[in-house]
Order: sequence, then structure tokens, then C-alpha cells
Amino acid sequence: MLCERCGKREATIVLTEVAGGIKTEHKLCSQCASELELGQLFESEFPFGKLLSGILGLTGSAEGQTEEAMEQVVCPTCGTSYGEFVRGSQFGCADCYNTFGVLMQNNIKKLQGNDAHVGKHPRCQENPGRDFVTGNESGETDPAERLRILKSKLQEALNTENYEDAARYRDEIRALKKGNGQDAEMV
Amino acid sequence: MQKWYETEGRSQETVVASRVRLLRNLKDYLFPVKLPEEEKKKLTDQLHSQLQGISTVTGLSFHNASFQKFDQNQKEALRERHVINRSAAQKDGAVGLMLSEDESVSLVFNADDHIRLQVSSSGLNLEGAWSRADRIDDFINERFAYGFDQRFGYMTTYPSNLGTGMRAYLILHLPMLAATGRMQTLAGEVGRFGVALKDAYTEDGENLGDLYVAYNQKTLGQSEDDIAAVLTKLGGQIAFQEKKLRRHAAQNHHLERQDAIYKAYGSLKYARILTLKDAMQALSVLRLGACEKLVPMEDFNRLYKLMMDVQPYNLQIHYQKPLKGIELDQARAEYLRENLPEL
Repeated sequence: MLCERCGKREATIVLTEVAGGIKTEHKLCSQCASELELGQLFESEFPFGKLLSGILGLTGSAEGQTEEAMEQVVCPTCGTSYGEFVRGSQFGCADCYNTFGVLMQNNIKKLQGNDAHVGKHPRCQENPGRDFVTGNESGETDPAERLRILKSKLQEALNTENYEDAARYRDEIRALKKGNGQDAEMV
Repeated sequence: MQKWYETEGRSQETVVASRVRLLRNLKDYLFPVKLPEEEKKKLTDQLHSQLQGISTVTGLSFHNASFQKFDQNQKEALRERHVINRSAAQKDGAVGLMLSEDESVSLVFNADDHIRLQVSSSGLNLEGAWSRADRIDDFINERFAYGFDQRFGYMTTYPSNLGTGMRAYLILHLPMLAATGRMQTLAGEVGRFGVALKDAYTEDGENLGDLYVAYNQKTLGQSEDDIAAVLTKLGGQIAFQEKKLRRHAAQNHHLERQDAIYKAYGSLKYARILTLKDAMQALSVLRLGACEKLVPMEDFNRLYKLMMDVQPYNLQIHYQKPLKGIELDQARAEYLRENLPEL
């Protein structure tokens, strides 16, 4: 079969692309495949979407998880299984974050280069966002988690030379550590 | 009413446009991928009706539309203008759209995520686009509670969007950098800052019209302001490099440049058949000439508009009939003859 892109060379590679939840298969020659890897799709909102199932799936099998085991972890709210999540790279609802959160924490870091949100929080929620790491509904975070988030914010503030914020985070970290009975000088 | 891309902006010779996109999901609903069709329809209607006040917040009037009433060509035409994305263009049924008259603000409901908010601005103005998006986001949030996680931020359908749910885009016109073969090196350099640099329009893998798009690849662990700041800085630097090359070419090869630009104008003005590739190439050359004042054409914003207008689906919408192959190329030439600004 000829490559569907150039129509000249023999197709030797099947490229499976998952973009926007739509899976498409392309039969390509090696030259076109490598050119495509450079990526030319402007509209792709998920530039590493197709890598994601790779990342998530790979770790799963490395830990000896079978496909069957992956089907057993199911979100109680929307019925998405972990296997389905890995294959489609899509969460089905807000509770999926809770269900798969523990399983994917490290993978999120691989994907995003970071594992904690910095930036805007919803300003007008009736209830502030639930904390899925601790399961707290009040928006109050568990102190250890809060400490980790503050540390990452402190680092970010230092990186961007935003010393005013950095001082604030440092003080908050101190206060939190004191509250925990830890040595404040450890900061 | 003037469209947003017909207004003037900073550094617009090279940075054609700035765009901010935010993704949000509502707290108490399954994400669109799992939400049953009937409930999706109800939610879309509810979003439409409760967000009508957006006109007051933005000072713009909005069109409301349902994808049910769109045919595929209309959706593809919106995609070509970057109002909706490729994934939304493949959906129908319950998807809803609110689009401001000047096309600078769009809200898409129940495509991949419950809400996809996009704000566009001409020139280098990501801070402005972000601050407008921020205000509209608050306006929506006053009416609908969002799915938000203390650790992972805004809950998006795709893990590649979680955190801020924000993607900031710069549309760049870089004919000289492209002509000197620097794009790949440049893409590598900006990649180190977590920014991707891709072709804005392509055909068979080839860039069309020297238009490129730069955007942040990661959405977690970096604030919205920082995302905008990094891209603004990089956009400014890329613009500077492009301008340096343009100045050099204009000074040292003035006659050759001018000749190329007038030839491009001639083909746009008089050709009877124009392929997409040829039209985009000639429009790019002409836009460069107009920016550098090598031809007397003040209004180079019009040329970016024409670049969108000559895309296949936009032409078919304009002429209100299906066009293929040579018919399409003929229609493109006709459209340009009629709409190209006079010198």
C-alpha cells in the first residue's frame, strides 16, 4: 500500500493519533511519519494527547498491571474504567480525578512537568473546590499537602524573582510548620 | 461592525494576533463525553440562557447558535477562522456556540469540555486577552460552580489541559525567518521554554502563507500571568529577529523585494485560477511588502482577513455552493480580484 500522505512511497508505518478523543489511523511511509512527528497540526489542542496513552499505559504494564486489573478500577459516578481512561486519555467527570488521582499522580508530572496547580482559583464558587487528595469538602487542605503546595509556590516565586510573594509563602510555611510542631528553621 | 482582526494592535507587522483559551467544566455534571445527549442539550440551553448578560460584561453583542442547525461546511469554516477547534468541528447535536459580533469572544458549550472560552486580540496583546478572559470567566463562575481540585486545578476532560486550563496563542507572520530556513532552529529554542511553534495553516504538510502559531505546551504548575508573560517575551524576541531580517532585505535588496511584491500583487489581482498554496504565498509576500511600506497599502490587516477568507470552506460559504478542485481555485481568484485593496 502506498503512503496516504505522499502517495509515492510504500507505507511501512501505522500512526495512531488520538486527538480530541478521536482516534485516527494513518498509513505512512517512514519519511512522512518522521515529518509528521515534527507536528504540523495547528488545531491540535492536545499536542501530547497521543503520547498520553503511551505514558499512562506503559507505567501500568511496568508495574505488572494486567488489562483486567485496569478494568476493575471504575469511577463510581460516571462508570469510566481506568483502562478506558488510559486508552482515551479522557476523564469522564470530576470524580474521576478522585478515582484515578492516586494512580496517575506521577504520570501527570511526566506529562506536565509539574504536579500542582499554580494560578487562578475560582472566585465565586458556592463551595470552594474539593480537595481530592485528602477528600476534604471544605477546601481546607491537609497540612502536609498544603506545605508541599506552598513550597512549590515559594520556588516558583523565587524563580520569577517575585520576592514579595516569596516572603509571604515563606512566612506561611513557617507558621504551618510551627503548628505541626516541626522545627521552623528547617525551611 | 469591524472584526477584531481588522483593528490595530502592537507589533502587528509580525505578531498578527494573540489568543487565550480557557477550558472549564461544571461541578455537578458529568463531562460531555459521558453526559447523555438529552442532558447535554438541557445544559447547553441553560448555559445559553443564563449567560446572556455577557453582552453587558463585554460590551459586545452575541450571536447564539446550536450546532444542530449548522451543516458540516459551516463548522469547517468556523474552524478555518480558528473560532472552534478541529474536535468541535466534528461534533454536532448538543454543542452550543456564543460568538461576539466582532468574533473576538467565543464560547463553545459541550464539545470536549462543558465550556471553552476564547478571546482574541490583534497584535501582541496576551495580557489584554487574558484579562478579558479572566473577567468573563468570573462572570460565568458567578452563575455556575466549576469543577476544581486544589491540587490539579481546573478539572478538564483531557489531562493535558488540567491546571489552568489555559492555552495562550500567538499568530506570527514570519516570511523572512521562514525564507532563511530558521524555523526549525527557532522551534527548538522556544521549546526549551515549554512553548511549541507550529504551522498555522498547512496543506500536504507544507506551511501556507508563512503563518505560524506559538503556544504554551503545559498547563499545570505555571500561573496564567506567567504563561502570558513567557509567550509575550518570546513573541517579542521572534518579532525582533524577523524585523532585523526584513530591514536588511529592504535596505540591501530593495528593488528585488519590490519587484517580488508587485508580481505577487499582480497575480492576486489578475489571475483566473489560484490554488490555496499560491494565494497564501502571494498574500504573504504582499503583507510583508505592505508592512515594510514597499507598496503603498496602509491597511495590511485586510490581508490577514483575506488569508482566512480564501480557505476552502470559507469560500464555499461565501459563494453559497459546494466547490471542488478547479472551481474552487477559480472562485478564489474571483474573490481576490473583487476584494484585494487597491494600490
